[in-house]
Amino acid sequence: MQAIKKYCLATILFLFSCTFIIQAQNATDIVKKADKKIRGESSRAKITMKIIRPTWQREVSMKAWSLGTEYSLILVTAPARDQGTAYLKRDNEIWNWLPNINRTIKMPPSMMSQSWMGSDFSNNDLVEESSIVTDYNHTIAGDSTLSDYECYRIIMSPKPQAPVVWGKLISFISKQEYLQLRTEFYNEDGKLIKVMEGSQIENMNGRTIPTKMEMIPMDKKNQKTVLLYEDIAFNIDIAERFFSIQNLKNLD
Amino acid sequence: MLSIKLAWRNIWRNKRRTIITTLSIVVAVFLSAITRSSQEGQYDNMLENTVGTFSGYIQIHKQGYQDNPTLNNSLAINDSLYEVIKSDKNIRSIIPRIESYALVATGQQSRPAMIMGIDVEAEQELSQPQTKLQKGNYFSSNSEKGAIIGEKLRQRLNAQIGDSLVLIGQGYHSMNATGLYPIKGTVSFSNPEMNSSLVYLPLKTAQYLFSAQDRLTSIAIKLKTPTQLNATAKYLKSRLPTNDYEVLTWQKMMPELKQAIEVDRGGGIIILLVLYMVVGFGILGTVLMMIAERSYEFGVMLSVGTPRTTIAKILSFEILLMSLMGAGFGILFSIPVAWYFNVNPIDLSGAMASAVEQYNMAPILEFSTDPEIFTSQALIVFFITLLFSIIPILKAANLNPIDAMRS
Repeated sequence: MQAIKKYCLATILFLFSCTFIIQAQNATDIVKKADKKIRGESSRAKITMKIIRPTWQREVSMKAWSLGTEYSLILVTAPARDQGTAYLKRDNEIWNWLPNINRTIKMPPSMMSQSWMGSDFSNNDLVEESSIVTDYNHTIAGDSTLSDYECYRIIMSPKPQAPVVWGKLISFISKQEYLQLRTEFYNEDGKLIKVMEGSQIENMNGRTIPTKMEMIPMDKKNQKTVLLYEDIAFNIDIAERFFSIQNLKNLD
Repeated sequence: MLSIKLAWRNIWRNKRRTIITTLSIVVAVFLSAITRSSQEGQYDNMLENTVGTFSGYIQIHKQGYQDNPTLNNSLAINDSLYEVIKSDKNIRSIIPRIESYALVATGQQSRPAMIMGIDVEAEQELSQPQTKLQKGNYFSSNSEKGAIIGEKLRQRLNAQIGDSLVLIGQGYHSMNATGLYPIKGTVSFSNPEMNSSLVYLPLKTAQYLFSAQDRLTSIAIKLKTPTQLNATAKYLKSRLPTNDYEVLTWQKMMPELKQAIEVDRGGGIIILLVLYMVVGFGILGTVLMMIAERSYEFGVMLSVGTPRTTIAKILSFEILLMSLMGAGFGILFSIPVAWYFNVNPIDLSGAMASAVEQYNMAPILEFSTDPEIFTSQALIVFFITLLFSIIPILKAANLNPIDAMRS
């Protein structure tokens, strides 16, 4: 008797979780497609970053390369005094090459939460230890329209063991092109901390993507960081050895 | 007039008695004046170490810098600002600076440090790096590429003169601030914290490093007469727009220093009060004895018809003359002692020295020669003497002549 009871309970639980998984699968697929869209296997981009503050603003131009989620490399090309400065990310470590002092610095853990080049991105944001695909459970919470694009509204809640700092994310992904048009970042108390918005959707080298990304912190007025993609190519031919400390010094 | 004459003669009738009484007053004035002098001297030393040779008595910042001292709160240099400052007569020199923090490194060692961009000429007036050089040379121009660092910092970094010093920090508007400068020399300050964390750069070099061309974080001001501090600060405040600039006196810049001095001064005053009590009762004893000794004399005087008020008057004049002499000699003796230790401060050593150094002060005991200390102490002791003499004088005046003559 005891064994049958246990068996029944297990079956019921299994059936329940199946229906849950089927529903969730849908949302996860959407997120996967959106993630693949902006990431690709590898990429090479020219980016201008605008840091906007209440009393001033400044621009930094850079070139960026990436391979998978593990490797990326950023080279600053303007302003002139910072030209040649480069950042290398391997797994979850960042190295900074400073040509004018002829040194490579590994970002100490204490600096990981500090702002990256004075922008609204932290060094942690660059490392991106978590992945929106594997570290979150996704559910579709409805539809909405964002600047003429039909979007899925997807709630992402982190999995228990995931290395995630957020309480939840709400992502708006367009139904047609799977573009991530808006992501809201909430802390563990459910308070909205920052918003990332994608706009200026254009075709670049055969792929339709938002070419303008804005990071807007909610607690600071008139402050944001804008990334403008001037050029981006996906699935380029690039080797792992390109992402080496030695290579940082030879980029141009 | 007669009573003054009598008082004068009474004093010198028994020289030993007079000398003992006067001496007790002299010692009282001497002790209290020296105590105060050493205390005030210590405060002067403290102020001189921090304010007089480093921060200046007054500083001008951009409004808000004091609460949030970052490069983003720096001020832009302009001529009208300088003209306004120069228009005050009490201003001896204007010392522009740009200050921030950065990591300094040589080889394998790195340390956090305070980077101070200085005007090569003007800075010689205030922190005087040129006289505090231990090794190497002073800067020759404001755009020279070189650094002068604290001697202790050099030791900690394990560097030599001529080695390259790497600076890594954040500049104006969060720009990257990195630079490579040869170490030109080392300085040694009496303030140990500065020795282990200060890096001087020429002004223009530092402004370029921090991407803050033509900007300053502070303008330090050296005064001709520091006692006119408040008047000067008030004048500057009235002439500079308060929305843009803040004018701070050292008391405002370093409230903890001001409070430390006030607390210590309070403690000192309690010790002085105890000293005054001891002195007061000592004088009371001497005067009582002096009058008891002469009770037969007072009895005779009363019997031959001297009014009681006249006796009181004569006694009062006697005390007055003696305390005047005592106070005068007290000042005369204490000034040379204080002056000697002002010129040749006592060098502290051992545990005492390191304790003092922890408070960022030079390990010396210096005496103050502020004239106010001596006159005020003489006056206080003088009045205490008079106060404590009232009872014996009244007692003498109210003697019963028969009892007085019998005893």
